[in-house]
Amino acid sequence: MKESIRMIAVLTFFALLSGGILGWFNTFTEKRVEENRLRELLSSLQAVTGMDPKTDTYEVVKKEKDFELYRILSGTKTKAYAIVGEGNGYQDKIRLIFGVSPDFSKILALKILEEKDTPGLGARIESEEYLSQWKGKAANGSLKLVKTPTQNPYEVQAITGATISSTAVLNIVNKSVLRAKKILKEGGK
Amino acid sequence: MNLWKEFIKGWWKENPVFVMVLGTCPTLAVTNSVRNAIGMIAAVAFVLLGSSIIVSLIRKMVPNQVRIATFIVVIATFVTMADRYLAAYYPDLSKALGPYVPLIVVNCIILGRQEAFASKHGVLESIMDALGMSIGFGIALLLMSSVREILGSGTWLGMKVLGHWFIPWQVMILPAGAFFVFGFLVWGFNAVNKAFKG
Repeated sequence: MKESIRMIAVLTFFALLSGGILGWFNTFTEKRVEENRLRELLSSLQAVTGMDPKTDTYEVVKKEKDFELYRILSGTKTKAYAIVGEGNGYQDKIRLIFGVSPDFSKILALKILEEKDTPGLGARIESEEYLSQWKGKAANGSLKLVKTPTQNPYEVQAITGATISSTAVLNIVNKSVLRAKKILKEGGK
Repeated sequence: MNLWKEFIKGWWKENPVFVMVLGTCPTLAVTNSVRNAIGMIAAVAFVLLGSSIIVSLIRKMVPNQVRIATFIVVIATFVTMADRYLAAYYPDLSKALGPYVPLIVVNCIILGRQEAFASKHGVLESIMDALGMSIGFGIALLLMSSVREILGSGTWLGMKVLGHWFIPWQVMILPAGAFFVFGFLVWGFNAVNKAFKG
């Protein structure tokens, strides 16, 4: 009996001590983690929408686990939208962000936030060569994948040897564009 | 003299990774670049040193039946601190290491050293043991990641070391490459140990 009370007492003591130390430690790191997150978001927004951090502001229109929609404002005028989308890649989730013109006529730029696809093949979705072609593509949610170089705004060229990753990116963009349009139609200004 | 022996045994003769074959999960997973490996070494060294000190201090007051649970609570506390610290001050590294920092909790090197050493020895010996084992783990990860990064990307710690003629062996930064290098290094370490014993 005495032994079991001692066991409970020791474990409880260390668990409480551990919780206390971590709670105290968290007060130092929490703020910095949040700052890092915001800084990263801001730099992504700048990269895909050409937002000027000095004069422009952004507001969150919608934020969910696999989808985020931001409105970039220049004064009170909408300058662009930025959409974060997520979907399955070849090995793990692909998470990306792209900018869209305010009338949803074209995509401004695309950036991959997270991917774990095969280096040398699928991971080339992060290459400048592939990403640069997204500039000016139609943001209508019905982009098509083609295997040859294309100038058409409604077609995107796949990466040789990485059809699955290329398809995944395309599907995420198409799906997210439609979702953003729906949200803006229902409740957006 | 005894302390010195506890300190250097982990470097080679009882190398935790190649001789005892513990902690292979991070060894295989985060050694695709030297930078990731260094982050992992630092985190493991911090956790190992911290928990060895605490465990050797409290070893007499912890009842035998709950010792593993208590050790895990101590280890998890240090791991969480390391994880939060990396997330706050080295966000890129934290992102690259991903779940492998929290997974240090279940790294056998850490719990193994508490169970086999720190819970039976004084603070000073435990510190020496933890430092020695951390260096052994560091040697292992640096060897692995150097081979993999040089052959797989042609760089070392991000600096270009092989010329343009070199075509990177992509397989070396993939999981398969980790197993190739690991196999050769385990063979090498044990072959040397065997040769010197005889």
